[in-house]
Amino acid sequence: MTDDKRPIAPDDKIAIEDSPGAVVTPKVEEPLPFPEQTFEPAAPPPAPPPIPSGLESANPPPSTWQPAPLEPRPPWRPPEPSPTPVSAQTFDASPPPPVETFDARDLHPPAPPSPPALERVDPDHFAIAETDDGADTVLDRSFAWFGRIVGDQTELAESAAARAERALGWTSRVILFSVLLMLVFNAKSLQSWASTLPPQWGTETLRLVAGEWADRLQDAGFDEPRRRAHTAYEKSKAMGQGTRGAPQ
Amino acid sequence: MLFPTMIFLFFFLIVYVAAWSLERQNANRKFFLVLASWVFYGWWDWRFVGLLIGSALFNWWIARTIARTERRSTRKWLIALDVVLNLGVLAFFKYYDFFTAQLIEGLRFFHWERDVPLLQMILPVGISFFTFQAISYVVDVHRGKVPPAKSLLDVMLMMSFFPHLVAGPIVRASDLLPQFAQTPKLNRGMATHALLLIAWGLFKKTVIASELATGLVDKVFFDPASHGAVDLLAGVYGYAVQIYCDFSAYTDIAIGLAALLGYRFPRNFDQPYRSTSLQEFWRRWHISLSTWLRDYLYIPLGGGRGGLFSTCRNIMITMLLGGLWHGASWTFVAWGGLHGGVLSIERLWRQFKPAHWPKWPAIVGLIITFHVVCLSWILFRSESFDMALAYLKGFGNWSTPAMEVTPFLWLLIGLGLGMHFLPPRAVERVTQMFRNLPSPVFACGLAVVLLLVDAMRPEGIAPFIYYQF
Repeated sequence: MTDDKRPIAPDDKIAIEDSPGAVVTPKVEEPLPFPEQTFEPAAPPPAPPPIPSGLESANPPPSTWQPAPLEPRPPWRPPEPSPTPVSAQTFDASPPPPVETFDARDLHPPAPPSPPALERVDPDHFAIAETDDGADTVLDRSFAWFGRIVGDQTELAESAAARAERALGWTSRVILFSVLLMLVFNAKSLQSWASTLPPQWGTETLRLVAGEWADRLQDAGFDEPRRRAHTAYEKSKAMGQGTRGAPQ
Repeated sequence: MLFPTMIFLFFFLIVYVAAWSLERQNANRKFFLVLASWVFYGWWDWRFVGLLIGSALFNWWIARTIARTERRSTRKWLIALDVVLNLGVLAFFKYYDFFTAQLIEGLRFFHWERDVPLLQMILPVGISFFTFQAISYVVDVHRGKVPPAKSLLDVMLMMSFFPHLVAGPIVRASDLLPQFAQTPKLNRGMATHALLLIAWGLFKKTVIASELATGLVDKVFFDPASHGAVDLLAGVYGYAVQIYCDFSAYTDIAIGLAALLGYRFPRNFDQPYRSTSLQEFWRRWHISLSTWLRDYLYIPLGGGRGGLFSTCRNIMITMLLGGLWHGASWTFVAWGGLHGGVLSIERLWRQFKPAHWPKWPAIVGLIITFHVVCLSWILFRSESFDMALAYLKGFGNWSTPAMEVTPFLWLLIGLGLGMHFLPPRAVERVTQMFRNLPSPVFACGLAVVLLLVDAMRPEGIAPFIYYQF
């Protein structure tokens, strides 16, 4: 203690008499970050207008209650030093446990600004719902190993932009895989379409390539699923009508 | 370029790759989408691309001028000019020959025959849709509901965007412009939903609608007099299913394509044949048109504010014009008139129904509503009143055996009607199940579905019914 009259500052070190080696930092209230406030008593309310003669009986007399004038609040002063001797106080000299710091924005990330015109009263207005990626499902967990092989990441990403990028990658892969599968198992359709194009150099080339592609896949048996499905469908169409409409 | 064709598949793949590679340059992306939409439209007839561009330019300028003008009278003149010119273009292409033919008939009636030239014009595909869209944009700017578009590019894209260009849904500026202002984003739920909608739409169009059209409906409506009551009954039920599957399939595919590019369209169908009244039917059928007619025709006429008579009058005017919007033919007007009449009767019934009368079971309302709608489909599908009358007379002919309808076609009709009684938002529920599948697994499932759809579809694909409107 250097000066008894001076209030304890936050950086002051205090030696405990019983433990000469121990030095503690006392808890001192920080000055408030806003200026001192003083309160003025409220002005008395204006007197009510006089009641015209003849109306006294219809209107009760105005109340005579007046609010008590407010005492002015004393300006804020730093607290006086404690009268208790420092030696009588118990201080925990051990360092406080580390406080896990976190950013409140992690818990409540700011919502992206949405244009006001999109906010409709009817949440059912748009045909495509605004859904997020949500939690894993049983199906997702079952096939997660397979998805990882081709680059799908099923866990939620940190930011919306990263999630959107993953969704775009996922969508592109779905489109690419399904187009490739259709090219293999449905080559006949490509051939049929190419044969309808008007004859030009480019379309003739395409027709030849598509025809060759379809023939080779047919030899390999890749057209079998489609052919079987088509036959079964035509048979079901002919059911219950005798020979009419039977597949040719 | 029809959606369920190979050429459109290649077109869309190019657009998809290019659009997402321009993801971080929104203006360039929109410019590319406008160019792609013009290619899509020009594939059918490139001469009408100019009409599309001209319409977008004109409406952009009018909306911009209205927003900058403070004088109320000038704004009114501008909005009137916009509506008149838009409807004038529509009337010229769509109704010139129709009204000229009526004029010739009228003159003949008064023995004053004249040679008035018929132009036999080709109707630009989708003109009714993009004209209505343009009118709604300018009127909304005039009413202060939406701010004018920040750039001409946004208006061009709003009117030309290829998924909705030729057969709707009529997407309003308040739905699209805010989406154009920001970089589109995709999530797996949206992508899954979009792909499922496309597959579901292809199934409805290429299997159910096409099969019913070629196997039953076209034959029965071509010559109703030579068919018995069973065929005719199956024919009208089949047409009810066909037109729903055809039009809702187009809408589903359009919504799915737009979603794959990062944009969301409003719902256009919501299981319409489960309606228990005609009023409910119009809340579920072609929602973008019915809400357009409500907001820009019925309410400006006075709506339901002026008493029962004026309400019924406004309903009738709205539905008659709604019928005429579908095509230049009196059968379409009669179709609208029938709907307007029944809607008015429903309104009167609600007003004057004795309070102590019990409420009908919902199933009764559903059956009555469905058959009223089927009756109106006869007018809608028939090429003339004579054909429609012949069709109606045929319901008394129970001696002729069924020649066209087969158990398989009954099954398709049942399937088309049965899908109205699935739980609401069934595709959304399936989306929730599948959205977290790994891409190869989902792609395999999708490919199997598409393969089956392709194996089942008949050879050749007829254009969507609403292309002609």
